[in-house]
Amino acid sequence: MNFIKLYKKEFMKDRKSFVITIAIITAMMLFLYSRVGHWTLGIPTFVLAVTIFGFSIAALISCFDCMGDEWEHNNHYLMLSLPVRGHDMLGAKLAWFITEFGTYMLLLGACTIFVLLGEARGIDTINGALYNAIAVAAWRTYGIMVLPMLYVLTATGVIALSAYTVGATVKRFKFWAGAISFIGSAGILFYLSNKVMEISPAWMHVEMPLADILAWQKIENALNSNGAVSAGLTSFINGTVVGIDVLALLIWTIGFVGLFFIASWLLENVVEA
Amino acid sequence: MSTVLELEDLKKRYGSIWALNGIDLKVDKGEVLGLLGPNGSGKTTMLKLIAGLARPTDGRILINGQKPGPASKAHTAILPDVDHIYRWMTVQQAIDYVSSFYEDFDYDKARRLIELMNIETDMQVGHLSRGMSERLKLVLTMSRNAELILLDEPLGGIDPTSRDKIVHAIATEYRWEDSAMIIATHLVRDIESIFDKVLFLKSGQIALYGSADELREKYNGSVEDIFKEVFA
Repeated sequence: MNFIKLYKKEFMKDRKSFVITIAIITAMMLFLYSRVGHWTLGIPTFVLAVTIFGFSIAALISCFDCMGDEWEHNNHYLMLSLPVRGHDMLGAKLAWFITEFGTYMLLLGACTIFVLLGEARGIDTINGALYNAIAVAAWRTYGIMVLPMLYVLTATGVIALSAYTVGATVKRFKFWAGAISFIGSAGILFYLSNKVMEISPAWMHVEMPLADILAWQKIENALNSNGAVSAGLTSFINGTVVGIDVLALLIWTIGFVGLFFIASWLLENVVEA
Repeated sequence: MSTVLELEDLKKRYGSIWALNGIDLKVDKGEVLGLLGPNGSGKTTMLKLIAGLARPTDGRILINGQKPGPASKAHTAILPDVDHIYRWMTVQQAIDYVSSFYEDFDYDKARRLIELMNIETDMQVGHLSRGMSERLKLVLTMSRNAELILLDEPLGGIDPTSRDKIVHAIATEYRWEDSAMIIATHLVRDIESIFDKVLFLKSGQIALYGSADELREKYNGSVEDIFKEVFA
C-alpha cells in the first residue's frame, strides 16, 4: 500500500509535464507527418530517431533527478521520516521512471513508424504489397523491442537510483561517490556478463533469425513481384540471427535486483537527513 | 508512568566533531521536555537521531522499546527546522499525503488546526509565506496522536503576537494527553510555561536537567533566566 501512495505522489508531481510532453510528441509527429513529401526523403524519420536518442539521454538524467529533487528542496526530511521501507521508496521512484519514459519511448517509437511508413507510401517503387510487407516488418520490430526497451530502462533506473543513494550516504564528495558507484556497478555488470558469455553453453544462447523478426518472406515476395529484389540483401537478412545469452541476462538481472536491495537497505539504515 | 523514549550513552560525531557526546535520558508518557541550548549545541542532531533521520555513532535509542526505523516512525511525529513539505503540493494535498501514512492522524484535529492557523487549503505550499509554512508544518505534526512528538524550533517563523495562542493550543487542546513531547528551542520565554522538564545541552553534553518547577525554585528565576545563566 505504501508503494502505491508513494507512486501516486511521483505521478502527481510530474503529471503536468507528463501530459505536456505527450502532447508535444504527438504534435511533433503530426507536423513531421505533414512534411512527408515536402522535405527530403528520410528527414522526418531522422528527426524522430534523433528525438528518441535525446529522450534516452533525458531518461538517464531524469532517474538521477527523481532522487536529487528530494535532497535539493529538503523533501528528503519528509521522505525519510515516513514509516515506509527503503524498497517502497526506491520502488515507487523506479516504477514511475519506467512508466514515464516507457510511455515516451513507446509513443516515439510508434510515431517514428507512422512517419517512416508515411514516407514509404510516397516512394514510387514501393507497391501496395511491398508497403504492406514493410508495415508488418516495422510493427513486428516495434512489438519485439518493447520488452528489451523496458528491461534497459529498468536496469538504467536501478543503477542510477542506487548510485544516487550511495552518494547520499556521505556528507562530502556526494557526486564522486555516486559517479564511482554508477560507473563501477555498470562496469562490473558489463564485465561479468561478457565473461559468462564466453563460458555459457550453446543452449543458453536464444537466437531468432532476423528474417523472422522482419517477416522477410513477405517483403521478399513483394520485392520479387516488383522485380527489385537484391540477392545480397536477401542473403544478409537470411544469414543474420539476433540472439541473447540467457546467462548474461541472468547476471544483469541478479546484479540490478541486488543493487536495488542494497540501495534500499542503505536508504533505510545509513542515509541521513 | 511508562517510558516512551530511552537514550543510553548516545553519541554522534560529524567528522572530528562530537555533536552529541554521551546523552542518557528517559522521557515518560505525557511529559513535555524542553530541549534548550544555543545554536550548535546538538538539539537538532538529537531530534534527528530520535526520529531516525540520522544514525548514532554510538549508544542506544529506544522508542517504546523499538530502535528507530519504519516501525518507530509510525508512532513518532517530527517537525524539522527546514521546509520539508513538497512545494508543488497544495495544503490539502500535503495533508492528504501525510495523513495517508499514519493511522494516528486525526483529520478532524487537522481541520480545526487549519482554521486556528488561518491557512488556505487550496494554496500551493511553495506560495506560502515563511510563517504560513511553519504553521502548516505544525498542523501536519500536531494532527497526529503520536506517542512521541518532536518539535525543532516550532516558533521560529511565527510572529510574536500569535506565538502565545499557538503555543497554548498545541500544548493543551490539540495535544493528545498520552503523547510525550520534546521541544527544541531557543525562544524559551514564549514556551517555558508548558515544560514539565528541561534539558540544557552544551557542546553535545547535558549541562543541566531536571523538573522545570524544581529548577525554577532552585535558581529562583524563570527557565529563561536559568538558560542565560547556564550559557553565559
